[in-house]
Amino acid sequence: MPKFAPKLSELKKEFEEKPGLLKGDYSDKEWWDIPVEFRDGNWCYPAKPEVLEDIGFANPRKWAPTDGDWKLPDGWEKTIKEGMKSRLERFRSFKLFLDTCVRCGACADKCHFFLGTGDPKNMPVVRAELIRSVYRNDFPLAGKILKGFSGARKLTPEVIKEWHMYFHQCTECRRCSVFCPFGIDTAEITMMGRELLNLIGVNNNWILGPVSNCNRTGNHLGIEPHTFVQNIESLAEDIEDLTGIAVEPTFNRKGAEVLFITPSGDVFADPGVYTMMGYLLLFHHIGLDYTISTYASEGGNFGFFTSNEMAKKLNAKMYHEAKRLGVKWILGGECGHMWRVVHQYMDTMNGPADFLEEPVSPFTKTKFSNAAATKMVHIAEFTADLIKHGKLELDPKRNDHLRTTFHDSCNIARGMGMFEEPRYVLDHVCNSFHEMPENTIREQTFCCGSGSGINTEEYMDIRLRGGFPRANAVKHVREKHDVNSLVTICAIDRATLPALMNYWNPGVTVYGLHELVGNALVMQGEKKRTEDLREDPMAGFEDEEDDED
Amino acid sequence: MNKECVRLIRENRQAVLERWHESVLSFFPEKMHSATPIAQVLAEGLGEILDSFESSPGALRDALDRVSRILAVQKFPPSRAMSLFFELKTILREIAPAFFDKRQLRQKHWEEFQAGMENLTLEAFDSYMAHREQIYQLKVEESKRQTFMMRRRAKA
Repeated sequence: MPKFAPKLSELKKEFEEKPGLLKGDYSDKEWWDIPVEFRDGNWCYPAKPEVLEDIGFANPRKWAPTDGDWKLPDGWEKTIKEGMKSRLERFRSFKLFLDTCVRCGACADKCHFFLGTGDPKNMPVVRAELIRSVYRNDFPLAGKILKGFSGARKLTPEVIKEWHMYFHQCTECRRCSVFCPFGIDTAEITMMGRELLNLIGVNNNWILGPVSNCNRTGNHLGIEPHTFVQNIESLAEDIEDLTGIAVEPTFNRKGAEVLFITPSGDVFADPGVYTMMGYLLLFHHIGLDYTISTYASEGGNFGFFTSNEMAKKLNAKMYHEAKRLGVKWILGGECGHMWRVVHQYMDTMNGPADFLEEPVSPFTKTKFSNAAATKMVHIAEFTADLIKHGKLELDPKRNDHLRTTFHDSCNIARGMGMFEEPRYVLDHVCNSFHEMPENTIREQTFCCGSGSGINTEEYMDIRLRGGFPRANAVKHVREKHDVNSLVTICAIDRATLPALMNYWNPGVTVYGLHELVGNALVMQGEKKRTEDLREDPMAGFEDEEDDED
Repeated sequence: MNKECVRLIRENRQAVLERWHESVLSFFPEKMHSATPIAQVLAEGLGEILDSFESSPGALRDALDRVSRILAVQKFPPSRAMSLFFELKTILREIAPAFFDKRQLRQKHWEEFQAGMENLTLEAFDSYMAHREQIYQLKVEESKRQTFMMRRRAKA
């Protein structure tokens, strides 16, 4: 046996003697006595001091979760306790969710992180218990009723370490809440957990870097207006090369009917840019009077993963720009958490948007009364409505090289209840579509495993574990129906699912819905199409001259 | 792989697989529940490894690939992941006497089998490492995708 490999007897000893929640010999201890262990691959880089200084967040310093001493600020316990108290007063949901759980365990095996890691602290009930156990100890009434009977503990640096680890192994996807008989939303507990951690500078650079960029330039990548314009114009040039059609997007144009806002991943990152090309083709096809803002140049909102105040601040630019440009309403691109913020919080955070009109499609006269409050329409709804009214000329055969399945993005599916519109669009732009198993789609959809600001490279191991249930469902349709394309309507999905697919299901490519729309659109005056927007050959559209050769 | 051992495995497939699966699940932090998707995929993969002793090296490679793809992203160290083949040896050694009518497997056959298992462990380690390297490659590719436009414009 190799010198460095442990002996079987040693391994056995470790399994048997190492404390474990579900083992009999651990029955006299509490679950929180198992220490957390940070090692490469299971933690995200903490925010750089300059990033925190830029946005006025607490405790800028250099540190890493693998350090013994996290350099928490003086009086951090008081900060956390007061932070918790103020949130309990301000957010009724937080208080309700802490008080009502009966630990029935219905949520336990619904979490993709629990399914992918087998770690009991990833059961949503225990994740909430991380905070609840402190809440019980420190808040007299709750404590009086529940202490002893249900477990209460002191706030120590170890608790903070545990919070940091497990509130970053929750993507706020809310699958657990679908199965909770009380409707407890663990995502909101995670949000509060992360808010509290940010109060003492326990954080994640992948979230706060983009927040700081967005705060300065309007988008997560920190790209300035001229570059933003150049990138979109460069995509327009590609469209012209491929289709012969010159799309002419306008920027910051006052008096346009519609302001279009999409995640910046669609403007900068592969494969999001192809979805952007799809939008541009669609708008040209129907002759939409729209403009793009170089200031509201980001639909996404990583502020949402730090504190509701920061989410509000970063979101405000949408209405600012809509007002400044004098548009009638806002059209939003394919994104996940952007829509959670827009759909559930924007109106109360930054509304009422009484300077805008209730959105009406200029082509079908459909009134989007569901968006009467926010005045912002989801592009999947907008396009589905166009198709329903026969306003688009589509050739689904142009996507015959793709055998598709659809990944419901958590925030769109569970957060907005939008299930049918993207499927309706997909059904009209391609000929091959197969659903994944029923318990992995629609409101029961499995998260990509990388949402809520943990889609960073150094966290790849955890992401691949958390994304396993989703990947496994894709594998099912790949084996059964030879599916080779995973279509989605979320920018984070487009950024992270390629890695997940490359690892678990090599050969499955990730597409945005409007990329497929862009492929299928028959544009007036177009040249003969032989390639899709990625310049991949379309099946059955091969160049005849090549054939003759 | 030694014929006697292959017969031992074939005729006790269910029992061997159950015990082997059980021991691999206990590698996970708190013993992965057998109804989870990971446990199910592992059961399929381990079953395929057992079956592949009788079929082609290609089938074995695919099965090892399935199992090591899961093991390579887990929390436990590579040494522990690879110890799953030692577990199989232990299981077979334990069931052999009953199966061969109280007679132990002949030393020669057992040695042949041991050598086969060692080869298997090495092959599995290669596959495990290929997956670890792939994870690092994914990180690189992801970085590239994030700066897609920058690189594209730099090239233009």
